[in-house]
Amino acid sequence: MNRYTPEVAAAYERAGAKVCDVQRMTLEEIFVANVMASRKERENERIDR
Amino acid sequence: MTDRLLELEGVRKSYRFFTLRDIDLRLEAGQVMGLVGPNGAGKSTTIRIAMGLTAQERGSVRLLGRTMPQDQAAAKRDVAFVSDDVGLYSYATVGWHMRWVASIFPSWDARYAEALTKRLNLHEAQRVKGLSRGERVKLLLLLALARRPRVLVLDEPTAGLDPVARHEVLAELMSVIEDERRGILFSSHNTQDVEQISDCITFIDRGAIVESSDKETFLDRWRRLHLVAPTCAALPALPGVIDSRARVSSPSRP
Repeated sequence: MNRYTPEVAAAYERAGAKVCDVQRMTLEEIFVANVMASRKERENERIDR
Repeated sequence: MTDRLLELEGVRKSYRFFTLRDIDLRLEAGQVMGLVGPNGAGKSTTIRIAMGLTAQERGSVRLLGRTMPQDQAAAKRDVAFVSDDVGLYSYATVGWHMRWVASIFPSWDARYAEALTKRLNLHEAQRVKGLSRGERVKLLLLLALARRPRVLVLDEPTAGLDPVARHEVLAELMSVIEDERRGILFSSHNTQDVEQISDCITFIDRGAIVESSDKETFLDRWRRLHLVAPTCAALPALPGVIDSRARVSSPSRP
């Protein structure tokens, strides 16, 4: 996720999830995550049409 | 007061199958900005517009206080551009290119050029046609740096270089920025390079800027969370979550 604050983990825990780990990401991982999310979004747009 | 070297505001440029839109970008003195994005994201188009090589349809570009592309001749006296597009004469030597650039730019620093020639392991008598790709990039960098420009713009400077040549190129770029009046804008899809030398990152995708901030803020905002959720848990939809593959725990049996 790209808007991390400690409150995010707390919100998941309040919803009943267990937060096992919170890791920093390298720029390479951020790059790939962004591009994959963008492709997924495009794919969803295509399906919606 | 900050010393703004480059400013793009609301820049737009359309091609048949691609549109660059709403590009806002600022490069201050002392900054190294890495422009990151996948192939075809718009990095090179952004750089070409910043350099006045392509005219934007909408928005404004100011380079060293000059309006681009109208005042590009004046602006470029203090700006150097390194890209595959920049031509070298195959039959001319490294030394010929150095003398040629020196004759055009009064700011040429001959002693620095000589030192760079040694550091980058180039030889003045070498002909361009005999240089490897890495050596050509190093020559382009030498010709750009020895002019002592205030703004250095590089389009994929380390693409196709071996690790040693990459290290040499990045080390020279790092030394440039020791002079805080200068700034570097460079595009790359090599994230290691960007992470190593940038202090500012702009991520561009599908013709638009996704994020732009200083490196620490950029990297600090991103986290990977490992969650285990009971099947009954409805996870909140939080802003900024780009992939939610939560591992669902099995219900415990008595």
